[in-house]
Amino acid sequence: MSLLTSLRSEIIKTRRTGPLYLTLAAAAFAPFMSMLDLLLDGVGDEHKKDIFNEMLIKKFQMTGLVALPIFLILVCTLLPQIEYKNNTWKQVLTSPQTKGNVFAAKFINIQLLIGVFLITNVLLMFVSAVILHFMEPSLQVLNQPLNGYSIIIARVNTYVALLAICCIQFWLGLKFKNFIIPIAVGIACWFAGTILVMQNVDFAAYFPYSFHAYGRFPKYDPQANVVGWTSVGFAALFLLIGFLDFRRRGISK
Amino acid sequence: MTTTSIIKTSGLSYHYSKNVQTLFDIYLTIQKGTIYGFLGPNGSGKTTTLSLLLGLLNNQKGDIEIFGQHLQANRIAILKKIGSLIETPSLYSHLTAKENLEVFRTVYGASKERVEEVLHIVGLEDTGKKTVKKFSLGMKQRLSIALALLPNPELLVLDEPSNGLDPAGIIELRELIKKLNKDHGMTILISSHILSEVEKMVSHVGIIYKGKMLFQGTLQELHSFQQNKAKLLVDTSDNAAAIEILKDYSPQRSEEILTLPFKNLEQVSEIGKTIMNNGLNLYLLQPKKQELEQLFIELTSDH
Repeated sequence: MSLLTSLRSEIIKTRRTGPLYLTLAAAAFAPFMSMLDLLLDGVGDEHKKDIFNEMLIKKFQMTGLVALPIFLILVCTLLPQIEYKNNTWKQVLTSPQTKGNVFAAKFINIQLLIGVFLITNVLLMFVSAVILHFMEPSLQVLNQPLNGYSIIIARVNTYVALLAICCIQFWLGLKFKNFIIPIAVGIACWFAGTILVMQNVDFAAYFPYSFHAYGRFPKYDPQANVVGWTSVGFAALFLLIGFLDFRRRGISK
Repeated sequence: MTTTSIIKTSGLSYHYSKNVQTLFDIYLTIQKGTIYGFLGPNGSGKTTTLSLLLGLLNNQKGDIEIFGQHLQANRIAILKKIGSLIETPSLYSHLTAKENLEVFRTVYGASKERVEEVLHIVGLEDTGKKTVKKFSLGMKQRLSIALALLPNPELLVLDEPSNGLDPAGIIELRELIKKLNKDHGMTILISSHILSEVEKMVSHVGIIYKGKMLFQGTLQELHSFQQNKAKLLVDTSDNAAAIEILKDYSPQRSEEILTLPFKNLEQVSEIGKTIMNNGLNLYLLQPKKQELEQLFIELTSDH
């Protein structure tokens, strides 16, 4: 109950903030670009048969490679910054909440925003499919069979692969008053991690900022489970480090 | 520990870095139902002490008891009964006044009616959809006080609450604090670096300087301390002889006149008579009562 109370408090704080608008804008980015692409360049013959599934699965893999990791790095950093920016840490820490609840509520709030991202993204992709259906009636987009299982699995795998980045960035976002540092570290590592996977470097399998890229390339499909579990392991480790660091800290003058 | 002590610290010490000690052995006792003025110049250790009392800083040495319970073991239960404002307002600038209170309403277990009530107490009930970033500093300070009042606290801790307030706002705040103490029985701990600002509302005073408590007691005790520090200025036709005559009063020569402590006006009269009875001409006999503010400045500069 007290965790729910702390979570309610965190959700109210998110109203009218950058992270909330960022979530909606980032979720709309891929459907919007995809729509533009289909309208301007048309649909290639090889894609016509299964365009509905391609929009919801393959195009999401691109989202998982770029838009979602960048969004995650930004939101994990900016959400804890609400307290630094408003000088409200002391108010939060003198209220009758355990540090554990404050920490957990902030983390869950980020997961909720990721959920909002994923749902908004899939809904807008649906809207794109509906628009395409009426603009290109010959494609019969909405009459094509939809692979619901693969749509869900693509999102679950991407979410799990990104959990490690999420926890590392959350820790950094709580730790640093200056938000530039965690964002710069996050983006530099994301870029390096993506390159490592593209260059087929073995070390990438142990570098949390590489895990998201594995889902983009079918040749790595057999490694999906291992990457997923490694990501969960890193997530647990950094969540623990983040909590211990948060618990020991006082408010400096 | 006495049953009426709301706050009791013993041997409280703190350092931010190894070589710089900020607090030395602070013994603070605040009785239930009092308004305690915690005074000291900027950088004397007031905010550090208050931060320790609220658990914002981890206690390094000494013991803190609030409501008769050890702070470290009962932090949440204690914080439920405390409202606080530490230094500058801590508010979410993108939210309205009501939303700011709503953030903490359920955390403190306060009702929706209580939100309206505290907004009414501080006169911010009509701010509607205006976000806090558009508030003046005075409005922000009042909203911070509303936030501190939200849990209907038994203990209110206010660190320099009049910062940024205009004179009318300071008077308003003073009346509010007195009202909360009188009508709601709240114990109030208020820190300030200006004695005259809190002198008109506090019942007890603690003076801290360079991390050490210099004085702690009732306002009457401070006045009596002040009385003891009162000086009588004396000038006679032969000051050297006067020193000898008045040696029981421990006179001191300061430039061309003598200064000696006195307790009351009867004593002044007695001193005058003694001088004249010994055949000296009396040119000056001026009691110089020390103002409380002057005493505070002296206390916090002598050490």
